[in-house]
Amino acid sequence: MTGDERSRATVRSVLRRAVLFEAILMLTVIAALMATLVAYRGASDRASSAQEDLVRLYELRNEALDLETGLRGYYIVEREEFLEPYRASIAEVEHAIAAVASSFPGDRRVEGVRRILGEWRNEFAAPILEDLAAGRRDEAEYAFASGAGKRRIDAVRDLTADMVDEVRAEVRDREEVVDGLTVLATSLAVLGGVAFLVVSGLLIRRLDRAVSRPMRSLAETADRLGTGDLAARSSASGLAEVDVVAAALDQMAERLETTVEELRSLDRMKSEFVSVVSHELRTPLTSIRGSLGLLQGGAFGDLPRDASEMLDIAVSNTDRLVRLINDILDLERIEAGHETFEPVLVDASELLGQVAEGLAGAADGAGVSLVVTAEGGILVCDRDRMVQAMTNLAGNAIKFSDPGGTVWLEAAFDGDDVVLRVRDEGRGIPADALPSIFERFSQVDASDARERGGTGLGLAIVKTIAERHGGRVDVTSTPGVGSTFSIVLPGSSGASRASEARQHLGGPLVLVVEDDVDLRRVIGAQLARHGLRVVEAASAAAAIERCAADEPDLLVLDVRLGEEDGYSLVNRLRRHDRLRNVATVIYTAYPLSAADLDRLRLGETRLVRKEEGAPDALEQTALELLGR
Amino acid sequence: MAARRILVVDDEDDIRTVARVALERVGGHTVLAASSGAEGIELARRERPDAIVLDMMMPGMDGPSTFRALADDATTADIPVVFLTAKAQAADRVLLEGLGAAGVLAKPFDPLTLHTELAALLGWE
Repeated sequence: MTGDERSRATVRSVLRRAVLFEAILMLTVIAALMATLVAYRGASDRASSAQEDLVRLYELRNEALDLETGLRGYYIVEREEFLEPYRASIAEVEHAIAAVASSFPGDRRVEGVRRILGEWRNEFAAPILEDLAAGRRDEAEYAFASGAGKRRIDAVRDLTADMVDEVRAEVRDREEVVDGLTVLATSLAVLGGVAFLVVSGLLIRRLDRAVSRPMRSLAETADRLGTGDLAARSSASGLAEVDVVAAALDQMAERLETTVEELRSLDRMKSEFVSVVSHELRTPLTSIRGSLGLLQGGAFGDLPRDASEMLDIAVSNTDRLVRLINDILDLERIEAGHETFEPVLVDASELLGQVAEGLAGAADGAGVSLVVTAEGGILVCDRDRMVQAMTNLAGNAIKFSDPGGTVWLEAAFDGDDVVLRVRDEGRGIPADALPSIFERFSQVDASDARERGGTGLGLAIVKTIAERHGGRVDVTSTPGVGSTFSIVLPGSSGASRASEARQHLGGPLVLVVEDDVDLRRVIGAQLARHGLRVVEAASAAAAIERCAADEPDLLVLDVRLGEEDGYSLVNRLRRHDRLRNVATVIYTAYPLSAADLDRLRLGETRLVRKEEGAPDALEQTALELLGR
Repeated sequence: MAARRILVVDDEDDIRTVARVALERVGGHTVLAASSGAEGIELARRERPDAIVLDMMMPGMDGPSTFRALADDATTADIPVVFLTAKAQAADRVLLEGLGAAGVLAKPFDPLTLHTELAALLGWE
C-alpha cells in the first residue's frame, strides 16, 4: 500500500474494504455451491428424461417384435381373430415412433425406423396377408422363408439398441459430471471456510495496524502533552479520522508551546523590567538617602528642631521605599524561580541563632525578649533564604509585640517533617484577616504600614520561600493572646534529600547508625558543625543501603538496633573490601567485654559509653579518628 | 583613624557627591572622584589612592571590566577595590569577591557609617 493510499484511508474505508473482501470470498463459495446444485439438478433431470427415452425405445422395439409375432401367429393358425394383435400393433407402432421422435427430434435413425417399418408392412406384411387371403399359402411361406421380414425387424432392433446405448452413455457422462461437481463443492466449502478464517485473522491484524495503532500512538502523544512535554507531536498515522484528531492535537500543542514561549518571554521582560526599574529607582534613592543621612547626622552642623523632625520623616520614608524595592525585587526573583535554591544541611539551632542575632537590635529597641528553643537536628534548606523567611516572621512578631513581651523561635522535628516556628504574645490577628495575610500588600489595618514600617510583602516572601522548599506556612492566632507562624518542611525536603545536599558540602562522610531518632539527630548535628557530612541510618538494613550508596569515612555504631544488631551489621560490612577497614566508634549504653569489642572491630575502633558525658565524648572521639 | 585617599568611581554625579561628603566630612578622608571606568583607571594610575570604591553598573566600561584593567596594571594592581552595587546584583557578591575584590557594599549606603564599613572591609585601624 503506498503512502498516498494510506493517507486517504479512513476507518470506514478500512472496514468497508474488509467487509467487501470477506463478502467476495463468501459469494465465490456460494456461487460455486449454487453452480454445483444447478448442474446436479440438470444431471438428475436428464437422468429421468433419459429413463423415459429408454422406455419409449423399448416400447418401439417391442411393438416392432409384436408386429412380426402377430403376423406369424395369423399365418400359422389362419384365423381372423388372431390378426387382432397385429392390427393393434400397426396402430401402436405409429405412436411409439412418434414418441421416440419427440425424444430424438431430427434424428435420422428415427426416420430410418419409420421407413423400414413402412417397407416391412407394405412390401412384406401386406403381400403375405394378400396371399393368405387368396389361399396362396405357398407364396406366403416362401416370403417368410426369404427372411426379408426378419431382416427388417432386426434392423429396427439394431437401430433402437444403438440409441439405447447412446442414451445410457449420456446418462453415465452426466453422473460423472455430478460426482465431479459434488467433490468440487465439498472442497470449495471446506477451503472457503478455512480461507474465511485466515482472511478474518489477517483483517483483524490489518485493522489493528490501521486503526488501533494510530489511536494508541495518538493517545501516547496526548499523554506526553498532558504531562507537560509540549514538544510532543503525533506522527502521521495513515488514518484520516486519527489524522484529523492528531492535527488538532498538534495545533493545540503548537499553540500551547507558542503561548508558553510568549509567557516565558513576557516573564523575562517582566524580570528585566523589575530589575531595571529597581536599579533606576535605587540610584536616585541612594543620593537622596545619602544626602538626608548627612544632614541628619550633623555633617553640616546642627539643625533647628522642626527641620530635624522633618528630616527624620524624610529618612524613615526613604528607608521604607528602599525596603519596598528590595522586597519587590526579592519576591520577583524567588517567585520567578530564576534563583536556584541551594539546599544544604543546616543545624536548626544555629539557623535560629543567626536569625535572633540579626534581630537583636530591633528586639532591644522594642523591649521584646527573643528566646530560641531548638531541638537538636539538621534540616535541609537554602540557608540564606530560610534565614530571610524566619527573619521576616520574627521581625513581624517583634513589631506587633508590646514592650516586655517575648518572641520564641522554635525548631521541632515531627517524624520526617521539620517545623520552624515563631511564637509571640502580641495583639494577634483577627480571624477574618487570617486568610489574606500572605497576600501581597495585605496589612491587617491601613495604619499598620505607616506605624510598623512594613512593606506588605514580608509574609508573601515567607510563603514563597516555604513553597519553593516544598513546604508551607501555617498560622494560628488568638486576638489579644498571640500568634504562631510555622514553616513546615516535609520529609522530602528534609532527611531524604540529605544525599542531594551532601554534594554541596565537602568533608569526610560519617554514617551514624542509631535507632533512637533524637539521639541520632543530636549526634548528626554535632558532627555536622565540624564540617563533616553526616548521613543517618536507623537500622542495620538502612546502614547497608547507605554504605552501598556512598562509602563512609567513619562509622558511628550503636550495638542494639532492633531486629538486626550491631554484631550482625559488622559481619556483613566485613565482607566488603573497602568497608572492613572503616574507622568505627562503638557507641553503646551496655557494658562490652574485650571479646565483644573484637567482634565489633572493623578498622580503627573506639568504644564510647553512652553515659560518659556523651555525646560530647563521642564528638571528640570521632574527630580524633578522622584526624581532625 | 588615619586619613586616607579614596578614589570613588561612579557615573552618578549625585552619588559621587554624597560619597565624597560622607567620606570626607564624616570619615575624615580625602576623596578623588571619577565619573567613568576609564577616568577612574587614569586617576588611579596617576594618584595611586589607598582604596577604590567602584560602582558596579556604569555605561561603557562597567565595574568588573574596570576592576580587571586595574588588576592587570602593575601600578594599580595592589590598590584594594570595594564594589558598590545595588541589591539587585547582591547575588554577584560571590563572583565579585572571586575576582579579587576586597569587598562589596550595597546601595543605598548609609553615609554616616560608610567610612566604618569601608574600614572594616579593608582592615583599616
